[in-house]
Amino acid sequence: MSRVITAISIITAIIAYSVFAIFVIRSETSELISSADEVRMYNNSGDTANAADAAERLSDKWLGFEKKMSVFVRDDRLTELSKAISKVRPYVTAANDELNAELENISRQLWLLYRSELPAWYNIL
Amino acid sequence: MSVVFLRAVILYILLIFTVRLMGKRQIGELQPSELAITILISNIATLPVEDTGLPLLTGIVPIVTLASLDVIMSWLGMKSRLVRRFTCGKPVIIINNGVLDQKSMRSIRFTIDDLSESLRSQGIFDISEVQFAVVETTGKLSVYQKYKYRGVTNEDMELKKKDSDPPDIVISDGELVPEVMERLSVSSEWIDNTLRRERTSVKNVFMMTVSPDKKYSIILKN
Repeated sequence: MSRVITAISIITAIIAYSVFAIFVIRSETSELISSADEVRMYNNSGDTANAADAAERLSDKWLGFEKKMSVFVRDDRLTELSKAISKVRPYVTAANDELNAELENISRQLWLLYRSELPAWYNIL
Repeated sequence: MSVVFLRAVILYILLIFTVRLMGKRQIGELQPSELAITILISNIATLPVEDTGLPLLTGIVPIVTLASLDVIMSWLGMKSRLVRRFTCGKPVIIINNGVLDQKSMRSIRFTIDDLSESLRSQGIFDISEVQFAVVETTGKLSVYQKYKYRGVTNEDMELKKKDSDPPDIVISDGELVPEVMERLSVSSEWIDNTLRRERTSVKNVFMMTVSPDKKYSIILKN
């Protein structure tokens, strides 16, 4: 009977952990998407200094998020995002045309990252 | 390299825990579902060790989930015949009253060769000796021979003796085995006195067995 109790406890813990992970990922990805939007907003209004600061904040947030996410997500997906985020600040300072596209790419990948953790039929099947 | 090493250590501990959780079974006695789970677990365990890009949790979660589900299904199987049928299937009688049931054999794809091999492995070389045979859910064949081919039993010979448990090990490699001593109601004083009579001591004994009626045998260390 103790084995059964252990097994039920493990299953319960895994379900609880999965739900917790979904909430953590949702809140963190939303925060990062907001940061990316902030960079875009400042950049589109021509405020390069604030856009650069926002890009710095985005980069800092990403470093913390990446460590947490490496427990749940494949390394290569995080590497792709790291590459994209590392380009943001240089693009802001160099007034690169591709900044908006890169920010859109980051937002999209973050959203996909969150979506891939949802226990929906398209992820399960 | 150190990541792979540490992951291997963690998975080793996890696998020991998982196997212990699933309980003791010989490989040959595994139900088909248990065998599939065992193979699946061993495959999953290799993934995060081979690919360090995969989070360790992607290995741990399915392993403990499969083992836990196996334990829960076994428990449900004990409670419900229906669940047992679903997870383990049911034994199939292929020889009844000395007659081979070919239809049943076909239904479980059990060939003549399988039957002959299973019979031979039990020392039966003539199918006409078999009264009743069942293919168990593990795939093993259980055979009941016709009366004239069965071995003579003590009952047939009208030999009467009290039933008793077999001897068990009370000293293993110079160390007492308390749980066996307790089960056989053997005290350490009794062991000390016995060993004194044999002019030896516990640490010099490689193995000592004692039966419930206190008969013992001692093998000394070389």
